[in-house]
Amino acid sequence: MSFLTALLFFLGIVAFLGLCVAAGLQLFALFRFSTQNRLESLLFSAGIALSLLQVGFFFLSLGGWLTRFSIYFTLLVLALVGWRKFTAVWHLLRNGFHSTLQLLKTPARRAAAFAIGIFLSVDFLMALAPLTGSDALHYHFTIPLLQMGRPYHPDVSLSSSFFTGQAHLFILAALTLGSETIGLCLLWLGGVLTAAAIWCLARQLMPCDWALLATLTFTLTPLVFWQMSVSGAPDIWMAFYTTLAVLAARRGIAPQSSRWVALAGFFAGAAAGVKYTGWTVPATLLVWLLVEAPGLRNAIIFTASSLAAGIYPLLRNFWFAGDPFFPFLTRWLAPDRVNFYALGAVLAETHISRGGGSWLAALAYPFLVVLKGNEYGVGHYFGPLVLSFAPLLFTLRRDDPLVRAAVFVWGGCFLFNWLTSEMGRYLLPVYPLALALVFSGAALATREKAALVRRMCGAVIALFLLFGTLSLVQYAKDFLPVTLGSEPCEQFLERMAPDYNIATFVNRALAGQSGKTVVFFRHLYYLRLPFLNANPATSWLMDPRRYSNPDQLLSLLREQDVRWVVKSPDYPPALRDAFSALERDGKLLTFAEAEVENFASWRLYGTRQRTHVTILNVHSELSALARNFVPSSDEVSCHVPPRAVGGLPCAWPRE
Amino acid sequence: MRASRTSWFLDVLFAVWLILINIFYYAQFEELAKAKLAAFLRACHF
Repeated sequence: MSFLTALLFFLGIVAFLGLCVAAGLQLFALFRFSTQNRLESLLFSAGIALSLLQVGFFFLSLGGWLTRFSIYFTLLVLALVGWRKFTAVWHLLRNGFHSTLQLLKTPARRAAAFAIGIFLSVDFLMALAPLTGSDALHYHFTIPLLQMGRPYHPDVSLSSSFFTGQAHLFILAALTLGSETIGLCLLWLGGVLTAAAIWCLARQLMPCDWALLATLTFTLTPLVFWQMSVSGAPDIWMAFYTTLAVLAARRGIAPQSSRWVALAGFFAGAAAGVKYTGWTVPATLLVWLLVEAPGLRNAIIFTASSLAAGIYPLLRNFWFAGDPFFPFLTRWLAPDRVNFYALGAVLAETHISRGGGSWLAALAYPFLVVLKGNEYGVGHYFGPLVLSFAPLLFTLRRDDPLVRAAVFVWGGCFLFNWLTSEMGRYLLPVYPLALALVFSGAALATREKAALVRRMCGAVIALFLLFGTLSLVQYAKDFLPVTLGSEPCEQFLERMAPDYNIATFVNRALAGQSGKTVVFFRHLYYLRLPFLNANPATSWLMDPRRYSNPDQLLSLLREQDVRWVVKSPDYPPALRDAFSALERDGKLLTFAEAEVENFASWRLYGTRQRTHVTILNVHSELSALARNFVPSSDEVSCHVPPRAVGGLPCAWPRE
Repeated sequence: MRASRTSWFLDVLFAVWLILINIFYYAQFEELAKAKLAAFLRACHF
């Protein structure tokens, strides 16, 4: 990628943000909101416009109307809405720039601001690299790619197709515009806005130097730079909306204002619309509101605006699966659709609770999530500072509603995380709150305590900043060569994208062949042919209770128009006997084989191994039957766009 | 006098807390650091 292309992407994202801020400012003024804080106005405006855009795209995508034309038309509408505010945006930026220059009057502050700019720029360059994030290749980008250009229908062969939220619509829009890089750049934008939001929050809780340190720490936190650059996961948007929700909620309380309560609810709902776990944000904020300002009116306003901003993915799931939080409530809400094997696998992946719910386990969790992060959803990627400074929370000013709101939401989400999943990375939405609070405590402590505390706090922060910088450099060195054009894209993907070599072998070997291909590997994004995910751990369709018998499995393959099966290197244990029996009986015949290089475990460790890939052809007699198979009406018939890779989405299996 | 002693004790306690948390935190990256070092040495043909 050339420097010019990178610059164009950057300017495009800045222009998009300008458009959103202008439209948001117009809406902000329309509902008679006003703040003296320029950056806060800018962030609230951007938040309103971006979340409305996500909701708008969500509705367009349901009917398959999210096309290039509709995206450009929506942007035009945004421009028309914000037409009168473009000069206001310009003034806001110019004044903001001047006041920032005034603020950065000491060399230390200038150095910190410069470092933040450099690190965010490195993140942007990393975001320009081709997609290689594991979850993104499995579903964050794959599901939108499958959905592109057709009415929404969940694919039950990919259980995670129900996990996509409103922020995934930016990914779908980017893919519709023909560029996954736009999607990654928008995730980076979410990270930048979150960094600005944490600065805004920190400035209200601590002096400028400390607020700069908190923002710098945020940008150097491994989980943050990973999420906003190469992970391809939209979770960072939750952190942005959550921080805005707390800032708005504080304004709703002192002085009391229903309008601000509604805006807080709106942002909390927008955070919830990204992912199931986000619903803890409106839930905890609602409880806080009831504690601070008891009364039904505020509660109703807050709840209504939360639901209006983020309920849609839940309604969609309820419509298609009978369970808004599919598959976590399916046992009770739609028992006839339960696949206990897949459910167990989903719970194992997202819920590793082992504490037994005792109070001792509750006390241990804050330590374990940071100090044994590898076993607790990469909680160690947040760094040690929140835990290190946690005792200083007792020094915070309890008379400040902003402190109380942040503590309440952070504490509530942490408790919920411990009770439900014990996955550290799900705490990302409240990380800005946690960081701002503990840095506020550290700022107070270093002002009031002895030199020993000052020096220790300084040393611990300096150590983490050094660790974060080294981690970022170490991480970025794998991605920058392709962005800067010194490594060919194909070579980069072979080196960095898990399962990429398997996908390209399958693409080449089966180019031009008809019928679907059954695959068991996890990273599906680079498959460029109609496929069916048959890994029972991630496919609701492949229930081992139903398909452990070879004949039943054969019927399913026939029903789904499957002509190819890819073994890499073996079948999943739960279905191994059935597939092996088909192979033994000559129903599956070897078509092509290859040895490809792949990652042995987490990409981070860099260990690679040779994987034997076998493509088997479903016996021609079966294929003949498959060709005569007429899909039923519930299997959704529509055209297959040029970039679509999955064929028709799989409907619920018939009894 | 007593308040000052208590404050001094709390400061020392907090300093010990910071040291312990940070030692345990950075120790968990030992395996990753070894893997990265091994990869680096491989790249240097050692």
